[in-house]
Amino acid sequence: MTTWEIVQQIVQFATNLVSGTAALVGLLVLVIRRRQIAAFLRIVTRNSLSLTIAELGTKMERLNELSAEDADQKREILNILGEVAGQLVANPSLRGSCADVTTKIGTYLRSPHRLTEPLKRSVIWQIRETTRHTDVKDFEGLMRGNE
Amino acid sequence: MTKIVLAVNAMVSNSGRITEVRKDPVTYDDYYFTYDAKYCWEVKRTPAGHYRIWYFPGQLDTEELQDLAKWKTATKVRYSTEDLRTREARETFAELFRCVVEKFYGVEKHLDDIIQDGYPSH
Repeated sequence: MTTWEIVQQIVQFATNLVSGTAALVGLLVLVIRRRQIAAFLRIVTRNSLSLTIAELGTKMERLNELSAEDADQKREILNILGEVAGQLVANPSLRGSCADVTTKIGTYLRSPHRLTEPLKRSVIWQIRETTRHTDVKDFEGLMRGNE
Repeated sequence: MTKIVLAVNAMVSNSGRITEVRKDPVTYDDYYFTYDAKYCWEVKRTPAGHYRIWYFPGQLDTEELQDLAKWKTATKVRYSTEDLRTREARETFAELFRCVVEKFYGVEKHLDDIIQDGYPSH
């Protein structure tokens, strides 16, 4: 083994030692700070849920302004309801709790004549209430996680 | 989640099942009615324009239904647009109130007569 090869091996060993130590420190930080990291991830997820709920709130206001008695407005109502159903199904926090209302929306999309003004109000109310409860439960979960 | 708005919208959609409508002779804009001949309700519009609905969970028998004094002392659950502050809740309660008032005064029949006169079939 030449001197050059010996130097190379020493340098390689030193590099491995340093990267190994760095990885260990990283893992230790993950373990020691696991609660803070988990809390951070929860905040990120919650922020996304809050954004979805805020957007749904705006759509509910728009739906309230439209009348299911008017043919043109009814078409717009159904378009918005289709978007809302998509958002509810796509969101893991809302999918389960809103299953009932998404089924109802599906029925109205298939048979628009079944959607009347009182039923439109019921759908709006149900979405608003269910999302509000999910939001509160999610917030409680976040608070418990931080204790 | 309170289901009152869903229930009231269901009643509005099937307003034919609203029967036994009575007006409180003393209180302002206060009506009593039954739905499906077994569920007892009271609906009221306050002078400030709020709507209140009461549900009577204990069923009243036919004799008690005739006596408004019995309604007044019965146990009831209150729902109000002062608590449910959303627009759809307010519109729902307002529509039920309108339905009940129309039933009380038989407005629907009068309107049918007017419509028939205005649009003769022959």
